[in-house]
Amino acid sequence: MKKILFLAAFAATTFALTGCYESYDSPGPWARYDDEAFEEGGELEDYELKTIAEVKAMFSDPGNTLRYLEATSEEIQGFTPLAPRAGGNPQDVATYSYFYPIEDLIAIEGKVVSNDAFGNFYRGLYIQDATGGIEIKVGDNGMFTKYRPGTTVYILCDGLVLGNYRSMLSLGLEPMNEDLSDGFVPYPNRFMEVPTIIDRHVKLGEAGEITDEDITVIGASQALTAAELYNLCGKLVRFEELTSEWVPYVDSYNAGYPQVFYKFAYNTYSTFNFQDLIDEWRAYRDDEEGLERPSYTHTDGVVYDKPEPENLYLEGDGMDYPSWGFKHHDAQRGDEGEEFGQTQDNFASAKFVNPAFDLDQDSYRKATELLVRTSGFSRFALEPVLEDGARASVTGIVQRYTDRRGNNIAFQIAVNHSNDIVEK
Amino acid sequence: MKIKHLLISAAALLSSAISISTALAQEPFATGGVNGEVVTRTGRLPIEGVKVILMPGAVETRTAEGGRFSFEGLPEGQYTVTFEGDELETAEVNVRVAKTVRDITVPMISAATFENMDDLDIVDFDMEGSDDAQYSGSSTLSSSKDLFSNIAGYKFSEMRFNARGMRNENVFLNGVEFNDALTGYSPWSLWTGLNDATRNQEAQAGVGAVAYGLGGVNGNTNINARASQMRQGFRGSLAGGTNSYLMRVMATYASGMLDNGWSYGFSASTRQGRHAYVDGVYYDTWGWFASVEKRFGKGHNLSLTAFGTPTERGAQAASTDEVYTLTMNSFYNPNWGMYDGKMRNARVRNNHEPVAMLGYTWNDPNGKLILNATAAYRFGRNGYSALDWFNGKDPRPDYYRRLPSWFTTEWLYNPETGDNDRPGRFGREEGDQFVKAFDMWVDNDPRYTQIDWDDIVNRNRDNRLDVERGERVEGDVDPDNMARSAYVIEERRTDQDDAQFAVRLEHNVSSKSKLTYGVNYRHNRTEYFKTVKDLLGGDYFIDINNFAVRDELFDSDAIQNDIARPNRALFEGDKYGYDYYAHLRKGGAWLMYNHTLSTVDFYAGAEAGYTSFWREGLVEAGLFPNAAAESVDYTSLGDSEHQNFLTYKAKAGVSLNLGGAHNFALNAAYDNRAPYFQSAFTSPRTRNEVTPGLTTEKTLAVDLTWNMRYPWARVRVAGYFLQMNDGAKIQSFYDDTGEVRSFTNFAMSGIGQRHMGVEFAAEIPIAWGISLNTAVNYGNYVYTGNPRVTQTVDNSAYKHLDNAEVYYNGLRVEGTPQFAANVGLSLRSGNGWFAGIDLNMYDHLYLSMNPLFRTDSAFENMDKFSYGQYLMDEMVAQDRLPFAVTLNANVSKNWYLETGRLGVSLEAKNLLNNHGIRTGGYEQSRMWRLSDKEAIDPFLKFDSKYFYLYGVNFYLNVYYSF
Repeated sequence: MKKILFLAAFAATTFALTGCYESYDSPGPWARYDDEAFEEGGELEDYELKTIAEVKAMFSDPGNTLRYLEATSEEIQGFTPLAPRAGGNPQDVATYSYFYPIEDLIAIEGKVVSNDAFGNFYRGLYIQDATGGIEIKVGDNGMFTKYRPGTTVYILCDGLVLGNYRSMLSLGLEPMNEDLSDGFVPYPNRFMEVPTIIDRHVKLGEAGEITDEDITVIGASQALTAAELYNLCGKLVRFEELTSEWVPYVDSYNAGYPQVFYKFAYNTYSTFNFQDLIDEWRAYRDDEEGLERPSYTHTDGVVYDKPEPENLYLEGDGMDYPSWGFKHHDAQRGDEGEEFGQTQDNFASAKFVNPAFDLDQDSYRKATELLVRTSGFSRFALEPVLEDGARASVTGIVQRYTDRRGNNIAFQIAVNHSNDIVEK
Repeated sequence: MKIKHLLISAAALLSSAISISTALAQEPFATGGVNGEVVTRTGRLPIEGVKVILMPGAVETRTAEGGRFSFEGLPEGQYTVTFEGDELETAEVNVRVAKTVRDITVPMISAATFENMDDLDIVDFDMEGSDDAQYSGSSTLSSSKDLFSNIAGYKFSEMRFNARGMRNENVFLNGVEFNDALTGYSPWSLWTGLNDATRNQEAQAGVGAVAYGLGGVNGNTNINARASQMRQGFRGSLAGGTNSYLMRVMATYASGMLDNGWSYGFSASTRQGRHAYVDGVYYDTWGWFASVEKRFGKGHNLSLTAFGTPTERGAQAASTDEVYTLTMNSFYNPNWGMYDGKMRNARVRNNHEPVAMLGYTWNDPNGKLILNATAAYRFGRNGYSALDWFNGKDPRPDYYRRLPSWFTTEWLYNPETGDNDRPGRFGREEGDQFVKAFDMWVDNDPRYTQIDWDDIVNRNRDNRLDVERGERVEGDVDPDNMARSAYVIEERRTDQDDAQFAVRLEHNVSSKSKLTYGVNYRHNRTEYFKTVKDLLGGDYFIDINNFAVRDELFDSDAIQNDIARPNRALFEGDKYGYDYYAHLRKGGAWLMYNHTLSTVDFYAGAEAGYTSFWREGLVEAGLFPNAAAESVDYTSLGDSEHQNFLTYKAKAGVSLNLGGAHNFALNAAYDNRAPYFQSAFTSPRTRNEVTPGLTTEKTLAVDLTWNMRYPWARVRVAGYFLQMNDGAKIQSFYDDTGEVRSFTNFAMSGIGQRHMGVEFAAEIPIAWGISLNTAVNYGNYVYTGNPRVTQTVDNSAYKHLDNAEVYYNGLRVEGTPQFAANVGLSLRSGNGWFAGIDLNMYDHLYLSMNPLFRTDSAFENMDKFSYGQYLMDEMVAQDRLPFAVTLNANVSKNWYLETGRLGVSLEAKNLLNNHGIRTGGYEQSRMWRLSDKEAIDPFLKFDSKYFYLYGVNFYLNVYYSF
C-alpha cells in the first residue's frame, strides 16, 4: 500500500514539475516612431524636426562656433590643436576636422539608403531626405537587418557633433584622443558603438522601400557641375550614362618614378588579387627578359609601355607588390608563405566618365570623371569591372574625397552592390 | 650460476609455502569455525545478503535467511571477519578460533551514503568548444571501498578533481568497457540519474587487476546493472536543492532472485528545475531502466537490460572577470536572454542515448569455470544547440566590443621604466563611450547584458533575400514573400551507433589460481552533423559557408558547404553545414593470471588488439573540393585514409597481506593504445586531413599502495608514477574576430606528460562516534617534451600554424588541482544520526591553455624590444588559479520503521559563501595587436574566461526504502 502511495506521489510530483521549457510565444514587433511622436503629447515632443540641409547648414553658419579636437596625448608629436572658429564652407580645407556640437533638441528624419549586407558599407548609415543626404556614424554591423534601405529613421542630434571629414559632413560622437602622427589631421567625430548610445540617438521609423522618387537621376547628357554634385553628397543618385575607362594610374607620390600600373590595378572591383594575378605580376617582375611586354593603348589614344618591374612597387614600404594594386588579403593568399602587409589603401576605384560632366576635381583628374569606389571587404570585390569603353548606368551614394591637405579631389560613387552598375 | 641458485631457492620456498598452506587448509582435524548472525543495530533485525569475508584465506560468503553465515573447518588461529553490506557501515570483528565453533552476533549500522552523489552536481559548462558532444563527467558515482577514492571521489569533485591528473577512468558495465569509443570519456552521462540501478559496483583505484579485462591505469569500475544484482525491494527518494536543479525524484524496485529463477528490476528518475543557482541553467532530465533475468538449467543465466536518460538542459558559459565584476555576479551566464518575457538559453543539450544489453553467464556447477558473454548496443541522439548567424552582428552579449575595456587604453607594466606605461590593449580613449558602456553593464538591463532575442526575431522577420543583388536560394522558397533568417539556432549532433561484444572465460585452475581469457569487439559508426533547430521568426535559412563569402567569388563553388546542393534552402530540422561519419573497428584478446597465496597475491596479464578508424565525409565542401585533392592530399567527401593501429597492454602486480592489518600492493602497467578519433583529424568538420604525427599513445604506470587497518585507524598511502608519450588532442574554439568568425582548431600530437605524486588517506575514530577523516593528493603533473600543433580554421583552407612546435616542456598539466586536501570530522551516532564537516584545500590548478601562445608565431616582434624576454615570459606563462578553501557540512538521520527505512539528509556546500573560487576556464584563442603596425607591434593575449564555484548552496534529500 505504501509502495503504491509513494509511486503515486512520485508520479504526481514529476508531472507537476515538468515544465514546458522550450515552448515560446512570438515576441512583439519593434517599437516604431512616426512624425506624431514629435507633436504635442508625443514621446519626443520636445524635439524639433529639421531637414538634413538645415542641419548641414549649421556647419557653415558663421554665427556658429566650430571646435577642433582638444584632447591630446603625450604620444602625439607635432600635433597642434586648432582654436575654435566660426562656421565656414566645408569644402574649405581650413575647416577640415572641425565639428559643430549640437546641443539643442533637434532631430532629423531620413530614409536609409546604404546597405551593409554586401560589405561595401561597413559601419556608418547613410540617410537622406528631399533636401540632402548625410552619414550617421553608427558603429554597428549587420544594420541591414534592422535599418533596412527604405526604412525611415529619426536621429536625435542633441549630444552628437556635425563633423567635417575632408569636406564630407557626418553626425557622430565628439572625437577623443586619436592616433596621430606628425601634423596629422584628426577625425572630426567618432562612431557610436555602445548599444545604449545607438538606441538613444537612432530611432526606428516606419518600414518602407526605396522608390524611384528617392533616387536623384542625372540624365545621360545632363551637364553636371561640381557644386551641384557636392549638394548631392550622401544621397542616392543614378547616373544614367557612364562609360568605363581604364586608365593607367600615375602615382604622384613618387614623382620621380612615374609608375604605370598596367591593368593589374583595375582588373577587379577591389584590389584583392587572386593567385593568378599575383602570379602573373610576379612572373612579369621576375622575368628579366623574354616575357612579352606589350604596350597598352588607352582609349584616349596614348600608348603606355608596360612598366619596368623595378618601378612596380613603392620603395621604402617594405612591400613587394604595388601598394595600390594589391591589398593584404588573408595571408594565405601569399605564396611561399609571405605575408602581405596591410596597406591603408584597401579599396579600389573603377573609373567612369561622362563627357557632359564638368566636375572641378583635381588637376590630374578629368572634369568628366567619376570614381566608383569599392571596399576590399565587399562581397563583389573580386568581380571584374566593366571593360574599357563599356557603358552603364550606376546607382550609388555620392561622396567626395580629398586628402588631408585638400588636394587629390575626387567625386565618388559608393554602390551597395555591383549589380547597381547596369551595363547597357 | 647465482641466478639459477636463486631461482631454485625461490621455487623451493614457493612450493613449501604452497604445501604448508594446503596442508593447513586440509587439516583433517580442524574443527573450529565462526558462525553468526548479522543484525541491525537498532531493532536487531536480521540483514540478509551481507558480504562476509574471512581473512586470512579470503573466504567469502553472504548472510542467508535470518542474517546467518557460517565458516567451518577452520584451523586454530586469529581471524578477521569483515562485513560489507549495501548502505551499511563496514564492520570488522577479530575472532580467535580454537577447536570449537564461535557464534557471534554482529550489529551493523546504516552508512551515511550520500544520496546526493550525482554527476550533475558538476554543472555542465559550455567551453565554446565544438568537441562538446559529451564531457567526461566526474566519477562521483563510483562508490569505491578504497579509502582515498571514497573521500576524494565525492569531496573533491567540486573542483573537478581528477585522480592522478587523469581525465578518464575505465568504466565497465556488466563487463563491457563503456568508455566512449571516439573520445575515451568516462560514460557516466549515459546513466546519469539512475543511481539506484547502478549502485552495485566493483571499484578499484589506480593500477590494479580487475576481473573483467585488463583495465586501465587510473581506476576501474565495473557496474553490475542487472536485475539480480539490484538491491531487492523498493527504494524512492525525493530531493531538492539550490545548486544545479531544484527537484529530483527517483524510484527503484527490484525483485531480487525469485524462486522460479526470474528476477526483474525497474528504475525511473527525473531531475527538474530552472535557474536554481545560475540564470539560464535548467534541467529536464529523465532516466528509465529495466532489467529482467532468468536463471535456468545448471548455472545458466540470461539477462536483458535496457536503460536511457533523455536529457534536456541549459548550459552555462564562462566569461571574463571584467564581466563578472561589472555584473557583480560570479555566475553571470551569457547564454540566455529574454524571449518574449521568458528566459531562453541558446545552448541547450538534448540527448537520449539508450543502451540495450544482453548477457549470458554460465557458472560451472563444479566451480571451475565461469563463462560470460555480453552484447551491448548504444544508439540515439546527442545534440548541443548554439546560435548561428549569417552576415549579422554578433548577438552574444559579452562580445569584447561591448565591454568598457574596448573603450579604454590599457597600460601595462613596463620593465624598462618600472612604471605602468607600456601600451597594452588598443590605445584608444573613448571617455564618453567608456562611461556609457560601463553604465550599460551595471544597469543590468537584460536587453543589453544578455541575448536580445526579441531583436533577433524581428531582424529575421523583416529580412528578405536580395535576388537582384545576386543572392540565391534553391528550394521551395518564395524570396519576396518569405523571410530569410539571418539568425538561427543550430543543433550540433553526434549520433552514435555503437555495438560491442565481449566474452570472458574464468578458469579456476585451482583454489589458488585462476586464469581468465577474454575477447572483445567494438563496431562504431557515429554521424556528426548539424541541423537548423529554430528559424527564430524567419521562414528559411540557406546552406552556404557564411564567411567564405567574403573571400571568395559569390557565385563560386567555394562558398558552398555542399557543392552538390548549392544555396539550399533550409527549414527546421534540415541538416546543413557539415555531415560526416566516424567509423571505428576495434578488437582485442586478453589473458590474465591470478594467484592467491595465504599472504601474497599476484597477477599478470596481457592484451593485444587492433583498432582501425576513418572519417567518411558525406558532403563535398566548396573550400576543399575533391578536385583539389591531389595538391593537398586530402578530400572532404568520401573516406579518409584508414588509420590502423596495433595495440597492446601488459599489467602485473603483487599484493602482500601482513597479519590482516597491513596490505602492500605494487602494480605496473604498460599500455600502447590507439589515438582517439576525436584527436585524429585537423579539422574534422571540413576535411579528411589527418593530424600530422598521429601514432599510438604509450603509457607506463606504476603505483605502490600501503593499506593499514586497525580498529583505531585506517590509513592508506599510495605513490604513483605515470608517463605518457605521443598523446594527441584537439581543441576547438569559436574565434569571433571579424576576420575569422568560425571555429578554429588546434590539433596537437606528440604530447608527453608525466604524472607523479602521493595519495594519503586516513580515517581515525576518536571518541563518541566521532572520526577524523583526511585525504591528501600531492601531485606533480607536467608536460614532458614539446608537442606539435596545426591550427586550422573551419571556413578557410588556410593553416595558421602548420605542425609548429609548442613549448610545453615543463609546464604543468591543466584542468585538475594537483594538490587537494581534505580534513573532516564525521559523527555516527548509535541512533541513526550522521553528521560531518569538511575543510578542503586546493592548489596547483592551472587554466586550460591555448597552444598558440606557446608557439613562435606568438613571439613575433618581441625581439625588437629590450624587454623582449619579459614579453615572451608573459605570453608563455601559465595561469595558476588561486589557492582555494571550501567548507562543507552535512547531517542526516535514518529511521528504521516497521516497513522499511526512512532517511533525511541535508548537505551544505561552500559554507564560507566564497564567490571568488575559480574552478577552471580557458584561455581565449586570440591575440591582440596594438595597432595596424604589424611590423613592430607584439601580441597581447585576450582576457581569459573563468568559471567560479557556486556560493553557499544546499541539498535536501528524503529517501525511503523497503
